[in-house]
Amino acid sequence: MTRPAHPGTIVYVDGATQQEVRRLPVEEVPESMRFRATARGLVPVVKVVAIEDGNQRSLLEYGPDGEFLFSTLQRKR
Amino acid sequence: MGDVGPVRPLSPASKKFDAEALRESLEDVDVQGLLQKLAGEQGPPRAETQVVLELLSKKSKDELQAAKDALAADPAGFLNMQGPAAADAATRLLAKFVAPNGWAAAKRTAKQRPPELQQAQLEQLAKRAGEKEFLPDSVEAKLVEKEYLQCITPEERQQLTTARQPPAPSEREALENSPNFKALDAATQQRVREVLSRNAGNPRVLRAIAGLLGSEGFSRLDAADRKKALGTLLRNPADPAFARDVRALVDSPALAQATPAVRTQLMETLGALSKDAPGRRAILELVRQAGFGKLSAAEQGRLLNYLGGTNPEISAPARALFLRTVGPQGVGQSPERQAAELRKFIAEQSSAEEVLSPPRGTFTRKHAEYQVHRPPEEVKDYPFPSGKAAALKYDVEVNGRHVAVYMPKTPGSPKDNYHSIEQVAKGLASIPPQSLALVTKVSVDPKRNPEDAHWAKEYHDPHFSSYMTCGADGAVTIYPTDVAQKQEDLDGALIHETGHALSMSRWGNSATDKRWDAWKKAIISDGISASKYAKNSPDEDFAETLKMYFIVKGTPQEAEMRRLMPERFRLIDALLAEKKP
Repeated sequence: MTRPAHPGTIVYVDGATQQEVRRLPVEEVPESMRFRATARGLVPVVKVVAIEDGNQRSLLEYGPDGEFLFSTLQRKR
Repeated sequence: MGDVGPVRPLSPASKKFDAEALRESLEDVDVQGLLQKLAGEQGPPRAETQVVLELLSKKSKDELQAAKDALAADPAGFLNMQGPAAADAATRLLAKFVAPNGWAAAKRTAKQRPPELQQAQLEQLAKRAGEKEFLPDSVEAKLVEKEYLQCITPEERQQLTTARQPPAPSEREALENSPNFKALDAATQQRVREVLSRNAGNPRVLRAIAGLLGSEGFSRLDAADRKKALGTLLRNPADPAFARDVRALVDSPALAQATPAVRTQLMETLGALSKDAPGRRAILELVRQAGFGKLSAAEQGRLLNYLGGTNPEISAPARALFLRTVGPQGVGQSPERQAAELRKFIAEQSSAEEVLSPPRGTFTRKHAEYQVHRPPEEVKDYPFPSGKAAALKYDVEVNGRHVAVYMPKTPGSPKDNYHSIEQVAKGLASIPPQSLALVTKVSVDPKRNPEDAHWAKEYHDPHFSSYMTCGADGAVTIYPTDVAQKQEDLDGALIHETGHALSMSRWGNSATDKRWDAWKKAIISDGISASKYAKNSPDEDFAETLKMYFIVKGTPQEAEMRRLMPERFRLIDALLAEKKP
């Protein structure tokens, strides 16, 4: 799949407050996590919303148009 | 004996006694710990003892046998349970769990005790047998009673016999001649007569009905409400505690002041909790608050829906919290303050579960037909997210839809736990067809998610690891875990994660897309959330509510949940009714 240009940064948002907590240059993010596959090809990840509650954490990744790209469900080991 | 841990001491006389809280605090305590808790009690019969015994009854046979062996190996430790409470606890344990020889064992135990404790033990046994608290109608109960009758004095036996004698015919006649009975319509009178005839040998039933009909509150009710009150009592007329609670509700000013709809709801709620004494206590405490009367009928109805359900996900923990919150002084000093606190209570829903955990067997009878087509195809270098590895490609068919599932040919680590192909197939058969239509493939990765390292660095916490990922392309990946995950966990996680893809496919971005407006309005209108997690965002609210929808679907709790979240259940109904997934 061809990679489109990445806008350059990924914004990390606290899901509980919906506030931005930091902004990372895309170079600091592993390559495999800069883009996510969709039915219309690779789309750059520009926002990650983290929701943590107890032993569970959800990481929801969104594209430039606010479209949902990827979710990760983590559990505390 | 095991360490019970930080169990909150509770006094039986305290109005703050909270069975739910005690149950929660003791949930993970082992058999030995529960025995120790029983031994520490100060004078049964007590509600706390009932909770501990209830928890004991849920332990496996192996656990109980291990505890019995431990007790047998250390009789001195067993006998060192001092005091009548301990004697009672030990006896009940033996009688209940080591039946049918429990009584003999209990007597042997009693004979080894100092005389004053023997006496105390026998007194407790007498009380138990007299109150028929020993597993009514069970073989054990009969054995216990038979043995008990042999060891009490003739006077005690006479007292017991008298207490159990069926009511004299005059009592029934008096009831049927009472003005309140005669005021009942013919059908209700006939129903009462049938109940009395069926329970001719049980004086409690007749006395419960007579007590209700003779109560002040009952006289104030109109004909329709009298019928409802009686209908409530007849759900469990042989339980004196329930009969007392029904009378308490009927006599309460709150019932008299409520609208007809709320009156009906109050009586139905109490009836639904006919076998749940702590649950009823919460409802009676609620109506005891003068502030309850200050709420609108809609608010009262919502509180009753919230607190009065039989569902373990929302209502049971809400009642436990309510009973902890309400004290002898009520939830506030003035009726207005109480009303404000009640509104706050339902708005905050502090008792909600962090994340919905489906109970064991939740989806067992609900999943669609599925088939795992065999043999699997071997794929040499399948690109799992953790790297290329040999995989077995299975074709899983659910309702005619085929999904490719890639299982690792060799697990990455013998210490890790992996879901089987059967579990994954069952999981796929548990999710709604609209979500399944979005799933393009499932991979069970042999290794941990390499992305965990990035998340650990970003969130300064290395203790989280991925269980499942789901992409907008419909690719689901399931990762190995330290602890084996149950089928319910997998099903629930699949419903939740693919739910994100489903909501995105239908309504787009929750932050900006207007197609989310109906859901957002429904969140406000319903006012109740499926879990604390759901409160984080509309996306999570949808995913958790969808999970709740499938947890309760087809159960008696479905109607309760529809009353709690009517708008969102309606929207999910509409979504799932779409003909083209």
